[in-house]
Amino acid sequence: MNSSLKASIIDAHQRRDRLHPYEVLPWLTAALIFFLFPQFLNLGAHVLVTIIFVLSMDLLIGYAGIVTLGHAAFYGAGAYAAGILCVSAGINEPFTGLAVGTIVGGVVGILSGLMILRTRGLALLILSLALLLLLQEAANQASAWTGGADGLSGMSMAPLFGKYRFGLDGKVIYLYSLGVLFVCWLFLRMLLATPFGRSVVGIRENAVRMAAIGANVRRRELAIFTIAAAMAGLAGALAAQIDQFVSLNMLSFELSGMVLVILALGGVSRLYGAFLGTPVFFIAQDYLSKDNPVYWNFWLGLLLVAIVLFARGGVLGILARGFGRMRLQPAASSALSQARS
Amino acid sequence: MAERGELPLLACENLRAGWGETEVLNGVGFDLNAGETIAILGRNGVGKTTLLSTIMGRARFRGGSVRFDGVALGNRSIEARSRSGIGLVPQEREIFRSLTVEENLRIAGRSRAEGIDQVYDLFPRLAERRRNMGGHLSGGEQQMLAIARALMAEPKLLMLDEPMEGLAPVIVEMLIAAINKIRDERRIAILLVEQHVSIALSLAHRAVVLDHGTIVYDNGRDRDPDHDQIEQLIALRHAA
Repeated sequence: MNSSLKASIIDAHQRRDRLHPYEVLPWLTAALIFFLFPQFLNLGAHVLVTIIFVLSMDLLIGYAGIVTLGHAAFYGAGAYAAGILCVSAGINEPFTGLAVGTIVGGVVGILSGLMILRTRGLALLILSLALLLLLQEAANQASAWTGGADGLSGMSMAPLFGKYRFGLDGKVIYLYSLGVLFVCWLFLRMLLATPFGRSVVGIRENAVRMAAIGANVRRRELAIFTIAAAMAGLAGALAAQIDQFVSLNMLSFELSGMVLVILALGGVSRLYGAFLGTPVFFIAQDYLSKDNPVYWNFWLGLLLVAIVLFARGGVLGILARGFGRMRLQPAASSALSQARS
Repeated sequence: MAERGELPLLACENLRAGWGETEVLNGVGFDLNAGETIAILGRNGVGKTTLLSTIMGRARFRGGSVRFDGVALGNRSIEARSRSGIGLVPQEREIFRSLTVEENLRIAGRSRAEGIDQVYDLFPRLAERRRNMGGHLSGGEQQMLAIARALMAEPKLLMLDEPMEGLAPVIVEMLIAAINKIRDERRIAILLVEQHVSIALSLAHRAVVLDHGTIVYDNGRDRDPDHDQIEQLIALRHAA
């Protein structure tokens, strides 16, 4: 192969991994919210934590094609790990809590993955759901550690970097959550660009073919399952820290369902679906529940049906198609004028 | 061609295999040396694809033996067979449609990057299309990519299932040249399933005709394949 062709191949590969201008938008929006809407910083922190949780779900469903109903198991495990570490062990340093939540989420992920990933389809769904129910009941029974149905309270986090206290204005928890989200996003972006990340997409497309080119499908699925579980554990630990409370709801089927709904709203296997779906869900929830506090879920359901039926790819899919048309139109008109001349 | 006394790369003996409860292969036996090409011929449904699938571990093995590089494959997984040096280019090509050409190749690579340069040398068209999604390639480009992807795993045996099916004559010529180059330069053994006798014989040292899951013709290593006899055999079997 000649050197110019080699150079252009390397260049193409590097260009693919470069940041696109639109990737700045979520971070720019987050910065604007911090300065322009200080009254929403507490809510904003919850949105950011949920984005991390949804990103971990997208890694599983969107990229690896592993559909599960029990993803909240890892979120809850991470939350309880961070909570117990703080309340029972007295270790309230935030980053230590995050690390422990991540490790516990990952350990629960690898242990459950060894069993769950032997199955496919309905069996996998049921097993993931069973794991969630088992953990929820275990948390309920171990009330001495977890607070049972009353929840785990009494968490008091140490200042961030020994300096910044988790105040009521929400500034510190917002920036803390934003920083953690940025690290998670960067990690996922890099992971998905590696041959391992692309092979996970290959497994989703055709697992038998991946095996036939020598990939250990089971091991790679377990690895991605563990990474997603660890990230969910991290999100759970972060949620526990900013709420300074852990409840059984963090191990609930409803929470798993909510994350699925957000992913469908935003757009699956797009990485940025989580960034759009989560605010849309929170805004819709807020708007609809104000309008109709009893039946708001009906309208949310209707919105979801409309998105799934008429806007495949979620909100991000709609935007991508819109921008695609905008890009195509000038090209088409220029081609037309060339043809005319 | 193997030296006298050297073990064949692939040896099938009295091979029986199929899908589910259906037995498709009924006692197939042949061997293949490094750098040798065998064309597997026969009409539709005689077990050509099943033979390749059995060697790859995709079909249900029911009896007999398959030895590769001196080792009995038995119930080895598909992945283990691939890692031992068996590569399959399936009839459907099975390109990863949402990955680019380069990504399709990279995920199949065992270790280093120079493998990609080598396959781009073999198929310069893929180098031009390296950033395109697998799903956006033409049939011929997909076939090149499927072969290139199999080569990235550095196989000792490359099994090609009807690689020329549905392709334009110019692409067929390009693929024939590439397959000959692969065999001659890399000393890779090739097991080629093909419907067209003339294409198969332009690539193969030996021809094996299958019918009802058994071998009805094998010219062996000492004789040249008889084109007319093979055509007649396939046509007669087809008419019968």
